[in-house]
Amino acid sequence: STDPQICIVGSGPAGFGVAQSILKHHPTAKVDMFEQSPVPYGLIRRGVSPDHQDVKNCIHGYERTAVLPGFSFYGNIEVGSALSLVELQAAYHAVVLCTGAQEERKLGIPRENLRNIFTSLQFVGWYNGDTNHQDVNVDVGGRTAVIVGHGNVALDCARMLLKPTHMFKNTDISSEAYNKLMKSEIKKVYLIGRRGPLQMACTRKELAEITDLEGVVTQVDTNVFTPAVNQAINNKDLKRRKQHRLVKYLMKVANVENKYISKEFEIKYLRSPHSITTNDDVTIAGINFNINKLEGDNVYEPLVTSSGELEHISCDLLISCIGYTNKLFDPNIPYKGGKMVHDNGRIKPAQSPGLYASGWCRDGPLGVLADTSNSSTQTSTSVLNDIDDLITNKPSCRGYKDILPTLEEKNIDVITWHRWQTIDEHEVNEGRKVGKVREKLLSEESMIEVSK
Amino acid sequence: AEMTSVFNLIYTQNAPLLYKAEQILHSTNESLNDEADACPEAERVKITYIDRDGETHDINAKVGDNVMYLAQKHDLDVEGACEASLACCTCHVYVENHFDKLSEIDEEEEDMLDLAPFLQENSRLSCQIILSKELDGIVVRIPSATRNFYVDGHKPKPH
Repeated sequence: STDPQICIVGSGPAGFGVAQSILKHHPTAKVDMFEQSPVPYGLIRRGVSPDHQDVKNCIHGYERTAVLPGFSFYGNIEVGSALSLVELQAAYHAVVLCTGAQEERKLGIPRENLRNIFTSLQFVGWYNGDTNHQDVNVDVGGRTAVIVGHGNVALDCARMLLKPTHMFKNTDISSEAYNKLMKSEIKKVYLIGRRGPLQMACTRKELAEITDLEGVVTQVDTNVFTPAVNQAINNKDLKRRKQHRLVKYLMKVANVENKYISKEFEIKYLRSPHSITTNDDVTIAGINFNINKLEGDNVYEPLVTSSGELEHISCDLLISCIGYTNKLFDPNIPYKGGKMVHDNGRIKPAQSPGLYASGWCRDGPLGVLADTSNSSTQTSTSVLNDIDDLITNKPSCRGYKDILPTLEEKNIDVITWHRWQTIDEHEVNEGRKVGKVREKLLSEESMIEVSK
Repeated sequence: AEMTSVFNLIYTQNAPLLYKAEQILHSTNESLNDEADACPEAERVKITYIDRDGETHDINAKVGDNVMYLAQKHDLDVEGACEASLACCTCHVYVENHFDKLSEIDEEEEDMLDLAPFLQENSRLSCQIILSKELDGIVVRIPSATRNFYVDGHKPKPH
């Protein structure tokens, strides 16, 4: 009989979750993981903040999966260009897409292309050593930064600008970003969202990581804590627990007098970006916001209407953190409301059975590691339930053997797990020399070179 | 009495699985229990895990055992991605009895529970539960977030 040949596209938490689960329940399965970058772990490497190293402990579990006999890693292969989905589906009994949601969302307002305006993808990628975002020229020589968005990524960005930079010294922050942030002149950071406090997507923990900083004063217009909000947060409702705890905390820390103030953190609500302003047609001078009103009876999901008034906020740096969207992976994959249409991870309509998806590429860019784990458990369960039928229908699949000729023909320099381990060791050693947990290589070329 | 309560719990919440639970209720992994069996009676703690499929696993543990690591040692499906550093909620469990005897929940754990899928009143992070004699007979349930092999009516056969 034939062993299952399963291919996973993407090596972030979703991909490793699926691999782990499949190999645990089906020890003779062959799981090949393709990754477009030479290095694995997706957002765990490129997204998680340098001062959240504990979150990256999940890598230890991924490493245990990666050394299982049935597992292979093939990095530096972009599915969609080096290999097509059709080719993969011909070679494997099952193909599981775990490609994440990595398309940046822009504000979509006039003059967004001026200097010193970035998306969170660019800014986070820059300080996290993402090889795709090392060309961004972040200028922190000004006094004021505006961050648009009220989610955890927005707070990550704010923290990079408010937290004393030396506190990142031992992390895996890119040295380029570290050196630049050491010279930062930013003294005021605005965090601006279009709705109210009950609609903030961030967590209390992330907020506290800023408000607890010595010398940082947190300013909030207390008018947003309306009687309706005050009443809501005292309702015991497990589904709203996160928001209630967050708002209660906000009320506690807002406008607390501070003996010495080195930096200001101002949270503003009810503001939608309207247009960028400039004095020289080159660099940002500020941003106009539409002032909104919240209406309707539902305090959690109010209707947002514009009051017609504008407010201008001067700034030297603008980072928009309004989320990611799914990259339309393949025109044949059905999407609805930013999510793939699926049945327990099976992609429908199943023109070709054996196509699956998990994580943010499937469900949209929401939720934490635990949500992605659940998504991966579900999808891998479907794969395992279907696998006997898939083998029967496609007995000739030989997995990587079928792909190899294409890769050779295209002269793709495949990064195996062993080669990644060489890169990993190099980065950790380089970090050790300067007292950091890791010094990330900042270009794909250098990664490939080091791995040889 | 403890056994009865476990049965009731399974029966009321997951009646179709009673048969399966009955089959395995007394079967424990002997080799893994040796260590706990060897320690003095005063340090032995019984714990029951209910897994995603509703099956119960009785384990003889020791005072001081961490409920997350203990589950992993017994190959139960508790992820614990951040390795007990309070940076994720992948070891979230429901504590079905003795909930009030657990150590006070601190703000950091509350922060992580805020993000736990399928949060309940008796939710805790298993990595924060350290067994004490007082917790003898504790029952923890692993949240069944997803459809699983039994529900799908099919368990993959190894080839």
